[in-house]
Amino acid sequence: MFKRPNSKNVSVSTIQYLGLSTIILAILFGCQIVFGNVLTEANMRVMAMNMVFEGIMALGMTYVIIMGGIDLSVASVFAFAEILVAKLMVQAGLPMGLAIPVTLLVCATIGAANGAMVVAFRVHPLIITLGMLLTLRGVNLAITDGRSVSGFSDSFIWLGQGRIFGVPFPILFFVAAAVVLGVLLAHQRYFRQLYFIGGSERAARFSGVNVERVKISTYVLSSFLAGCAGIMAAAAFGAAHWGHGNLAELRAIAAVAIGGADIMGGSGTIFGTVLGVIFLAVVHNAFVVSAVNPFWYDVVNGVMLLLAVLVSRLIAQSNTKKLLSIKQSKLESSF
Amino acid sequence: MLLKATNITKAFHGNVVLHGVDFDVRPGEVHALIGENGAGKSTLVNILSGNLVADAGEVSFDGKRVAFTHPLDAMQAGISVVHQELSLVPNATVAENIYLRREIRTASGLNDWSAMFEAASGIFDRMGVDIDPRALVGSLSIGMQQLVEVAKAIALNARLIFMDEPTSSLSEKEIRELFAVVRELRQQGMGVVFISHKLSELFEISDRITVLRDGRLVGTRDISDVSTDDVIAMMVGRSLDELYPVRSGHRGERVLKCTGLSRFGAVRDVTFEVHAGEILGVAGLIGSGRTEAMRALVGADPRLSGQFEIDGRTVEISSPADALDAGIVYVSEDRKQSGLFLSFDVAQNVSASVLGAEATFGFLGKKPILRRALDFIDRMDIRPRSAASRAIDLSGGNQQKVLLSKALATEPRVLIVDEPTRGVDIGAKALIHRRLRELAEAGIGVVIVSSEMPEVLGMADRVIVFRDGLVTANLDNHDGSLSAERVLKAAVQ
Repeated sequence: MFKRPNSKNVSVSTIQYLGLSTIILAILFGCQIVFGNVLTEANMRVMAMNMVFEGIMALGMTYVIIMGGIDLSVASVFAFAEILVAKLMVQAGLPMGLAIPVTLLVCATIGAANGAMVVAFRVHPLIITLGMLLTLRGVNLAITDGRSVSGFSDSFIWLGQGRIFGVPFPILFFVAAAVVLGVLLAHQRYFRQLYFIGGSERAARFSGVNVERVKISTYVLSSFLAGCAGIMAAAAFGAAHWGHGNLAELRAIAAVAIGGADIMGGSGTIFGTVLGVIFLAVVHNAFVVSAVNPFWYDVVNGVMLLLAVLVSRLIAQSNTKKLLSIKQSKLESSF
Repeated sequence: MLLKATNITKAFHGNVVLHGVDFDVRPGEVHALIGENGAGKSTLVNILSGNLVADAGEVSFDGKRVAFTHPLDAMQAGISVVHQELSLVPNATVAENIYLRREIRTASGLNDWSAMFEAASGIFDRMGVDIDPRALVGSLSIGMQQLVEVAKAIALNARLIFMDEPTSSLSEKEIRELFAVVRELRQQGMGVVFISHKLSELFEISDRITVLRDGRLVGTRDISDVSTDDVIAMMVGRSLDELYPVRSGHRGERVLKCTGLSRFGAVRDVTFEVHAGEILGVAGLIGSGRTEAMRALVGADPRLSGQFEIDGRTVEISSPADALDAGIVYVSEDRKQSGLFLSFDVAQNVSASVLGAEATFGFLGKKPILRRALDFIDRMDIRPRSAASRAIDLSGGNQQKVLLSKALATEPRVLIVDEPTRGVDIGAKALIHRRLRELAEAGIGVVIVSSEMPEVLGMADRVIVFRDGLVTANLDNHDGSLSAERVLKAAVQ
């Protein structure tokens, strides 16, 4: 009889999550003990607000990467949303209740364009979304002449700076989005298909998955979330500027990869990404409170990213080895 | 009759691969399908499972005419294929892989995991195996993953399952388990088509056997009416209809000696010699380890062990570049992926392995490259006769000639050619065979790895045969009298 797999076997992702959580807690408490003033309400708020917009983009990026794609354009969609919502309200005089839906609709359309081009041209999404990133950044610069747009109403500002029970609204948005997207990704059949496409697009197609539709809708989601982040960021900064969110796409990808998703697709979870986002935030904060030269910040993030990639490569390698060792034992027994 | 296919015909680019084949499966039977590489087994399975559309012929399933145009059509009708390369997602649970696209859901629209786990358990009970539906597929052995594929087919209410070489990566114990499941399914009235090269297995599990050869049906027999020798005789019997260059019968000094070559999970303890003036043929079915052995020899893939001598001198080889330095050149069977630079012209391809040979202070001149290209265009009769034509624009035969030129430009002591004439027209084939014979006569050690039995028998002076990663026979053929039966026996038994 085939044996059930040993129930004591801890899955690899559990180990990764435990390891990452331990590192996060170690840095937090380490900094608290050495420098103090880390685990205060004010510092926690600063820490969270530093990473929250990248975090929201990382949620959408998780979906895209699990599907085997990548979306570099989120950073310029983010800035574009800032500028568009600002211009609609400040220059066109639209009420907030109209400007926000219009902005989100435009952002979703950009995502649909990304997805449609990826599907239609069969070009790697890296190239398509890089093209979108550069094009849109140029648009952002051109329509603002490089200047920032400001002059928002108080009710709009609340979207970036308002608090409920002391927690800033963008943080609440991030938490709510993570919970909803996490549940959908784990339990909803449409979104479960992402794993199958990322695992083997061909097998997914043969199993009846409408690969094109799922791909396009996932890029729509990614752009939509970047748009939400952009709107809240405009409110939080009190101004829209083309340079906001520069390199945010790379931080979002780093958070997803540190969270254990395979950059080639097929694995990853929202929970892992949330841990990845928290890790980036905590490391950044450690540099702030320790007053070490913040230029080292990216060094730590980069090393952590490489470590995460190394771990997932080692896992893949041990899997191939397991596969080959059956044949090897057959070879050895044939003498 | 569960499935009845008559007069199935299929051609690719005018090349007929199935000539009016008849095939049927009864309910509650295990039907073996066997034939040499290229006999048309995969094409037939692909047609019956909706992956390919036949040019002519009729298929009826369960008494009804069917015409599948997509694998989903066949699945819906009740025909599933368990492929050699599994199509499961390792990071999802067993149950989810089984129920992809047909998930059981709760009222809220989310997946009802416990219902799916229960249903999957029911299927495994029916199969008589104990697999945890909650386990991640990636944590299961290959054997268990294969059973998950079978369960997926059963969940689709399949009544006919094709199994394409299901035992090739299973351990002996797992093969027993798989056979138990197959017998259980047969008991329940399902039809199973079992494709394998291992005759002993086929005789153990199947009720009837169908043999294909060169795209034609040789016959279908009850397994109790035939012996292994009968089946082998049905598989061969191909005539040597092409003319091969005459052997000189001269056997010179030893050029290459390979001792104890092993590669993890692929080949074990392979030893052979190549002498000047003779061609060594390497036979064996696809996946038997012959290509894996040659790639490990030249250092293209890692190996566990192996010593090599060229002209009596020991050489160290840890990469294809080392092999080239030592005088061994390997021409890959996959000329588009690992042979040619398709977007480069003929001249650049021919000189690709010798770049720098005539450089002055590291700068490459155009002239020597062009001269070499023209020389080979002449020698190998490459058409069109232009050094500037791009490799991608050439026919298969001319691409192969360019690839051989690239190898010969390195002036090797040993030339190892994997499938020298695959996808090559008759004229180019004859020329390539002549040139290979001339090279051997000129004292170069020539090794031909080939799936084509006539080519091996027609060209080689000696033949080594691979099976399951081992060399199972070393046969003399200096007078061309070696029979296909002997080679095939060593390859399948």
